[in-house]
Amino acid sequence: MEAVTTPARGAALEIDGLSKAFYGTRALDRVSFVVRPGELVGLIGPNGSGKTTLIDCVTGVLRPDDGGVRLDGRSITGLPAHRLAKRGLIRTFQQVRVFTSADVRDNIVAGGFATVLPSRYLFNPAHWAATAARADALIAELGLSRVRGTSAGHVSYGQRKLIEFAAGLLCDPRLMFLDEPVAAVNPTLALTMRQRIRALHEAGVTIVLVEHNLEVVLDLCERLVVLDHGVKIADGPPADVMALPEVQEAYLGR
Amino acid sequence: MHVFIDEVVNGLTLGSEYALVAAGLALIFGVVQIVNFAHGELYMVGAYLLYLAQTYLNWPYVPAAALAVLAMGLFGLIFYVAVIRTMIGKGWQLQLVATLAASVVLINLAIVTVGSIPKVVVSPLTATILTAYFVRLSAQRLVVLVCALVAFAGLYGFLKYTKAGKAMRAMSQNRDAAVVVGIPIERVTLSAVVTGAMLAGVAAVTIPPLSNVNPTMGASVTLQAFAAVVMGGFGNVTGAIVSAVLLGLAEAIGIIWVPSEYADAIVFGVMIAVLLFRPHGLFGRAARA
Amino acid sequence: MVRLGASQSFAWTAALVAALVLPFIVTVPYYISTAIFALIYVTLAVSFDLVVGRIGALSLAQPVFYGYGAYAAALLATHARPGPGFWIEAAVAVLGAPLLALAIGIPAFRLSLHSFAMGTLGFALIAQLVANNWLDLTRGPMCISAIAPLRLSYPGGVLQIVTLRQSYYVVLAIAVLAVASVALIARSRLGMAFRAVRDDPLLAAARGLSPNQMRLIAFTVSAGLSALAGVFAAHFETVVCPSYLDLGITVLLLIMVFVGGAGSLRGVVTAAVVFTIGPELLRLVAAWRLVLFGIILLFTVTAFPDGFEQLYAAAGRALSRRRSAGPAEEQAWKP
Repeated sequence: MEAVTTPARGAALEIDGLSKAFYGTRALDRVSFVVRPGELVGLIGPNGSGKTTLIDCVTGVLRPDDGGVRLDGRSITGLPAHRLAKRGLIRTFQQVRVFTSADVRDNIVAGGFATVLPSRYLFNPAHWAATAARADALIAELGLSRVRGTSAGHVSYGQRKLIEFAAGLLCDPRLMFLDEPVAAVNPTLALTMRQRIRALHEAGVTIVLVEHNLEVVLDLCERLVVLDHGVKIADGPPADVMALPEVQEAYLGR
Repeated sequence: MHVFIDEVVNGLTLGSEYALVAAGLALIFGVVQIVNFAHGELYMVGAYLLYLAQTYLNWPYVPAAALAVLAMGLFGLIFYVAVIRTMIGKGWQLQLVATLAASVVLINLAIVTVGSIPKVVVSPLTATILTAYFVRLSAQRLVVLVCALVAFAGLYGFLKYTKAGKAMRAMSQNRDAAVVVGIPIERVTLSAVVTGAMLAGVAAVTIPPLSNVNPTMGASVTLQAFAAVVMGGFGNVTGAIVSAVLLGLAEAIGIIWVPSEYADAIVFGVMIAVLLFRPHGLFGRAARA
Repeated sequence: MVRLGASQSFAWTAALVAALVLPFIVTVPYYISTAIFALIYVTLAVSFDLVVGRIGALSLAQPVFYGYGAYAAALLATHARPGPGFWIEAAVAVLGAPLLALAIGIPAFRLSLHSFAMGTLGFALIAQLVANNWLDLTRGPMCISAIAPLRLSYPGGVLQIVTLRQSYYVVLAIAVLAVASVALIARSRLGMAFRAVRDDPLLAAARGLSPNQMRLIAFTVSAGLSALAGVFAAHFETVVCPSYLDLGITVLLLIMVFVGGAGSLRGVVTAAVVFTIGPELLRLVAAWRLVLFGIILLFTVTAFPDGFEQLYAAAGRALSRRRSAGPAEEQAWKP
């Protein structure tokens, strides 16, 4: 399957001592790990372990209480989300988000805002024509052609996940956080999604994948980072990590 | 020095006025996330109820005041049914516009029914002057402060110890959890609106004897009450009360140096300044997504 | 991007033609006057809708920009006789109002939604206080009066806008400019950016859009258009008072936007016309007028939150069902 993004050098990510507390509960407790360019890392852990909070802190949605984040060696801690998106740090949302007043095609074309300066939103027909062409190609490949003109609020949950993923691709990501991309999606769409993720990986984009579906995680990821109650409890190759007693305990519960 | 103390007393009275209105506003917002633009008009309605009780029923001050406050509870019910109940859960812009519309209706109904000429309500204590050291103040001002304190003590007890009060605090902290746990949302919201209306009623019967009753009197309190609620951290009743008193003091003391027409500007200036440094208010809630 | 359906293009064209020939069909001066007020409010309402309906920020400060335009024109026209003429005044309005908008918007947009509304209200009140009390500049409640007619210079001479008919065409041009500007923005990528920020600011940011930048753009454009309306109004009414900054104007604009349908150009334009002409037809006393407005607004917001747009959209669907041969018009969004 063709990779649709222009081959991008994947970004490197360093997370250093990230902490975040809400109303006294520590959602993240000095979490540190490194993601090398082009790696496909799985971020796993039981519900409430802080995975989405981590993504929020890294992508500028939340301000961490402590610690720092570096993208390709440059500090990005506390930068607003839109600036990070323009640097190629793209994410999808656990509760899938789309622009409800726009149709499917425009939702995907909107990814074009990340790759151009605001001063060039208007009067830039070349950029938007290219974006539209890429969007059309993606729509065809992802099987969304029939609903391209439908309002994004009216398509199925799985289709919305595909839309979100496609829009993210159009942002020319160098590092992509995928927050449960196949959760609650029917098996056919899930397969499509997995193929796209693999293609993205082969194109060289760094990927951090949050997923509960261990089969998907073990299939795709080269490395796993495990969080439990906001603390990193493991970091390494999937087979090794899954064999660790603390990891099994975390999943089987106390 | 006399001037300063005078203004401090003024400020406390003003602050109490704002605080009684702000407390109800904060309570309603905390419980149902609706910013009630018409809250100042509840104050105005209460004052007119006192006027009607005194002028047409010929009741003396205390019974008339008590009647007005109770009647405000009933008015709170009507207000809830007509405005608040249908707006729960609708987008916040629609809610704000709905309460703004209610405010416009109430003000102009007052104008066309009772007229825009200011009316007088009388309290036997307005003329009584108390003197202590340098201070001369009308006893009515003391009444305002005492009633405000009693009202807030009652509110505190209500929120902390009664079932309805606890339900309101629960809804204020975590709406979804409150629903799941089975708290009767509509009834609790109704109680909050009625409580807010009655608090405004307390302000309405204690303060107008010091000035007058007119259709736009609510407007001059609403903005300050809002500023207090915003400063105090939306939905935080204690924060709103404290901020309201601070704003009242700031306004009264500020007038020593600044022309009195700019009183509103002082209040808003303080509010904007606070928000710039602490966007969630002085006692604000933690960031929500 | 959205293309207008055939019936919609026809409706807009018909409306424009009707507006162009109106002064020749309706000759009673009072009616032309009313039409002029309607067009002033069309300008104000569509520019207000740019902020409230299209970028989703409930600003209560619109009269500040309208008043700025009016006072700027009044001061320019009375401090030197003859005044500098329409083009200079328009430039001062259209360039100065955005600066004012930035001064208000940059701090205000840092606030949360509710606080933003309150913050803009605070600025509006302060502006009204200044207008009422800075007597040296604005003459306060005594107003700036005896403003000479608008002077439009063109290659070859100067046209004085003296008759009602002339005024009508000037304000019509301004209103058309406002409507066209908003329509063009809506159809452009900028409009797409606005809708994205309105729908989901968090998602928009995750896609590289700065919500605050977009809000400021909408706010400044809106300010410029409203200020232009103020310039015209100053000359048309020949008097500029602090009442230009009154909260009542905000209330009326809110009605026009919400009863018309936030984000709907056709709805807002319709509501602007209905709510200026309606009260004149009903000849209500001001206070009763406001009671009625308030009730209408309350009722609309509780029962028909999409306002007139709901009616238009339903009509549109009914029309396309009639023409069942062709594909139904896309319901994607309103123009």
